[in-house]
Amino acid sequence: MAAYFRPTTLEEALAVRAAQPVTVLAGGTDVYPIRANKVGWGDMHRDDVLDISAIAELKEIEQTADRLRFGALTTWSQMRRADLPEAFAGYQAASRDVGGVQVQNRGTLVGNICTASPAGDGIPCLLSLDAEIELASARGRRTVPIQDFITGYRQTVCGHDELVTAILIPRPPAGAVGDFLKLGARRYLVISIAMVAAVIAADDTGVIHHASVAVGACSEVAKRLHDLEAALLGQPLASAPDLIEHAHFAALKPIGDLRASGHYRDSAARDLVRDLFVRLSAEPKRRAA
Amino acid sequence: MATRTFGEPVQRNIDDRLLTGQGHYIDDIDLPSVAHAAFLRSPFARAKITSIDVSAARAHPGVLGVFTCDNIGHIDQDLPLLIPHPCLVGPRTQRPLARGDVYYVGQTVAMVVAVDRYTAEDAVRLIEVDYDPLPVSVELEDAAADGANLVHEDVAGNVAAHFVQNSGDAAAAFARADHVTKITVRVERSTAAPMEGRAVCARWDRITEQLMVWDSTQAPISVRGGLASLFDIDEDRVRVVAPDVGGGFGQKVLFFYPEEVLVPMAAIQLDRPVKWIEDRTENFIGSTQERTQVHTIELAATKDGEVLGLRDFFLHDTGSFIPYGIAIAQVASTSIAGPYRIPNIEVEFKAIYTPTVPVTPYRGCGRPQACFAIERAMDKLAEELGLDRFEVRRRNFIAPDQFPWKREGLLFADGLAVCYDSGEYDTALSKAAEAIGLDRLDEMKADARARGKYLGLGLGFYVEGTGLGPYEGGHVRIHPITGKIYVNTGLSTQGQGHDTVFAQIAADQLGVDPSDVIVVEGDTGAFDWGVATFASRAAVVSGNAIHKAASKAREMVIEAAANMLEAAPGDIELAEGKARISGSDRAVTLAEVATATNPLRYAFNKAAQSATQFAPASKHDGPPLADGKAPGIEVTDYYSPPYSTWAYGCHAALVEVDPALCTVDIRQYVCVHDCGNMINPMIVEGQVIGGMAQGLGGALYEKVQYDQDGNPRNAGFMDFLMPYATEMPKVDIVHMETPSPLNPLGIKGVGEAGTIAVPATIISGIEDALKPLGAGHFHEAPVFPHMIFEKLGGADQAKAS
Ligand SMILES: Cc1cc2nc3c(=O)[nH]c(=O)nc-3n(C[C@H](O)[C@H](O)[C@H](O)COP(=O)(O)OP(=O)(O)OC[C@H]3O[C@@H](n4cnc5c(N)ncnc54)[C@H](O)[C@@H]3O)c2cc1C
Repeated sequence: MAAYFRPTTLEEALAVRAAQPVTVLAGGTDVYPIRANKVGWGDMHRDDVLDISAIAELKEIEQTADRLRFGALTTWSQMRRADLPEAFAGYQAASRDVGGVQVQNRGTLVGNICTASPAGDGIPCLLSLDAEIELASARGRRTVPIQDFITGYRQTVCGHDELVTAILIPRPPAGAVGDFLKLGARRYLVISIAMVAAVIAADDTGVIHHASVAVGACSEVAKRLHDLEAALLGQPLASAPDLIEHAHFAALKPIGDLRASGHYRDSAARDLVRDLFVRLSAEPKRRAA
Repeated sequence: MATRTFGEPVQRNIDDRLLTGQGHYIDDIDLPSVAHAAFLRSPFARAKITSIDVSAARAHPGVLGVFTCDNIGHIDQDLPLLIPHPCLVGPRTQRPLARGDVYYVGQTVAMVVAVDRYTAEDAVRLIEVDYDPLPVSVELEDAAADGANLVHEDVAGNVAAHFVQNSGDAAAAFARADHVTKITVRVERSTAAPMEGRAVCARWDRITEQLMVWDSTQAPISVRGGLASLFDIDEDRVRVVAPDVGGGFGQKVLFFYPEEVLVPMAAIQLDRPVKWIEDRTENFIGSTQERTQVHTIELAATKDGEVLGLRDFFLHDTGSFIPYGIAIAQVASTSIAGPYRIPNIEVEFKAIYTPTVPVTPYRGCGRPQACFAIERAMDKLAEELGLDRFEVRRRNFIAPDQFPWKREGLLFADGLAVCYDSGEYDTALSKAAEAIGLDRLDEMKADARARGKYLGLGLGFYVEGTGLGPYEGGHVRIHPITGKIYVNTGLSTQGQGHDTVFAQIAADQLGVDPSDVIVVEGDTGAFDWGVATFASRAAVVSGNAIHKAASKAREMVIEAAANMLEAAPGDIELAEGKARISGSDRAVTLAEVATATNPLRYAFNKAAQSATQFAPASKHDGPPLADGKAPGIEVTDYYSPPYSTWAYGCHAALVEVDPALCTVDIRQYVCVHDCGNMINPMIVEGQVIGGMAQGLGGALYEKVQYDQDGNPRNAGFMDFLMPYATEMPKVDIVHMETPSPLNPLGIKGVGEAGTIAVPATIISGIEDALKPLGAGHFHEAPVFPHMIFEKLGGADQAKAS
């Protein structure tokens, strides 16, 4: 029989985590499907479970002058409903696109990044927001930039004795707006073929002074497009869709799988970025951040 | 005369119950001390089993029995070939549990019965099986090719069946033609994915020696016949009930699935009730699927577009076994000429074994493939002759006065020559053109272009042979106490709303409200003559049987009421649950009539007093029940169709394609359909829309995928994508009602109708939309965005841009 731990404080949870190998369980929307699939094909192995869903201190969203802090149990639904700066519009759009409402009610932002699927919809959003991941263990706390947190296909730096405690996002530059587009074979409840997230800030004359663009599902780990970002800086926002070049996407290595061919993904990623820029540049400037 | 409810959108009787969660499915049947079964399934597409060791599973606490082919007695035999046909050159059916060989991933190898499902599944994992995997040819064309790896060692070329049919003289037509159009089309495999998977629960009663089986099946009577013969018990000792069934779509018309015989066997052997509920993975790997066919179709035409002849050769993927015979391929081959006269037809098919889950009918049953082939060929013909797509169809339609239209030489699934009974094809096409706004098409195309999109017109016409025989029955009885009407029939419901339409039919004859008609189906204990629910036949075959029985009951009521009221039978009318003398308020209730026609000894209520031996009304000569008379108002009658009724319809769509992302947006969808007289237009619409959703799956979303070793790649809802409400376009339905001359109610079936034309319609719309970009032809279904991408230059274009 597997053991099931459901502590109410982080300290207790970290003690359990340090004492034995466990499957960490937050919303369970990744853990259960993966397990059900294993059982379906005959693998009955069960790990001990550390259910962190009763730890109240992981449920908070805090906003301070210089950053936003999303506790590890923040769900997609909470994200969707939160009152956040305009730069988070992309992340909030992603939170409406993940699964369906039931999944959004249970699934957490942190669970999504810990699964570290190439198709995790939250990951490009976090990349575009320069997020940092806060980890804790009995040994202490540390923060890791999101691009260093995920190290490969379903791999993260989260140690066996560690828990992610929060996502930290620096307050975006003034006037920054964000957006997100997901391409799937169906509108909802679908694994992304490709998705893009961007945060762009332009000054009063419409000149871009901040740009971060990330693409998911087109490489092992979602990627920022630094060359494209560099090309955008100092240019008018309205011209953004026309500044896109093939070479800007060189970092992507889309594979072919049963959802789409690599070439199609590659091409779709560019079209999604273009569509996203069209949306960002066409929209009248919304309320200031 | 009572108000007729026939043709009215009467609210479905079952909705209250089903929508509030009061339905009872197999898993809701909770028998005391019930044991649970779980199955060990083959992980290989083709392998030899070299050893099976069940000792650890047997020793596992809570396990009641472990079964392999070696301890299931005489049911270790090939399961029945349900529909034999002379063209089956190598018919093979599976055994309940594999003996020596496995033929597809998912095939049942062993069964564990334990105190609960968890224990049973744990014990399944303790069974050790050694396999020697064999090489496989998984794709249909590969399996049909020379030198392919064989599924069954003794079936050469993997050919399960080979059949050629001729109507007229195709060779002569081709020799005479001005023009020949030839295309090859491919339709992929899908699965029905009913919400409730398959499920069986069985109880053996040692005292009465009765086997009681609850089965989530479309064919309870047939299952009973089969179980009785397999277990060699008297049919009356076997009762099969299909309670609420959460969808079937053809997948549950097949019997026997291995589980369906093994669960009752275990119940008998262990003398304890046993239950098995299929899980979703099992449904993907252990329940039958359908659709893969590759057609090469040729049309021989005059330069004016009159099609003189048709040749079609196709491969049909039957999976690893062919328990349902050639039904699908036969339906496809006989529907191939669609609504067109085409007097000369040669159609040939080969049913090919592939090492995959067996193939049996899924809603549409060969028709979507045939429709796709002929409709895409008609479009190509129009293109090649420079004719309009509508016009080329018009020139070939069977005209209303040409019915019945017989295709001598093509035998339909009922074994009779194809014969279309009635239709107004040209009108249907015109209505579709009008509803889709054909006159505004150029405007719509320009509007799409202005938004960077491309819009096209999709068009698909289908015919559907429905209401297959051989027969069904109807039993109508008026209950003497409540006056309610009891109606039984042998086939079963999977949520279509049979009970409402059957109630309407009976209610109209007997002058009661449909809610006062209680319909019982799917219970061999209630009615045990008949066949099953399939081939869009329930309304036609059971409906007419019930109509016939109810009309006779009506005559009996009138005769009896006339006696009771001392009036002429011609003056009696039935309405509001009463028989009354027209124009007067003198009436008797149906309960009184039913009571009075049943001579009684005991007065168990007030009405019954008048039927007892000393009551004045009982005084007459002769015995209380005259010779040749039966008590009460009770009639059983049957309907056996002379041949199938042919429904038809025309779909049209405005389909918009994003040339960059290659996504497809259906802007408008029109469905004109004709299923003869409609008993309940609301239920008809529900059937059409539901069918269309499954058709949409086949057009844009659903494809069961296997890897080259025969492993399913998307055996789950994560990657097998069905369309949801968000994918379904709003559908404008235009009803037409051309009565069928073949049955008293003038009806045709509609269960599968919605499904058939959707792939042809949407995919022709994609092709039309992308013509300005030179994308070429779309002859595969479904179409995924990456396929559009390839047609638009794909990889090359990607590199160049
Ligand atoms: C039907 C369905 C549809 C879905 N659709 C989408 C979709 O469209 N897009 C998408 O991106 N995802 C989708 N998902 C996946 C899933 O919902 C998300 O990834 C979700 O955010 C995971 O969060 P969770 O809280 O449920 O994680 P869990 O399943 O509880 O955990 C996920 C992983 O993270 C680990 N983990 C969780 N919390 C911590 C922590 N604090 N510290 C360390 N490790 C931790 C767990 O051990 C596990 O490995 C879908 C899932 C389902 C079931």
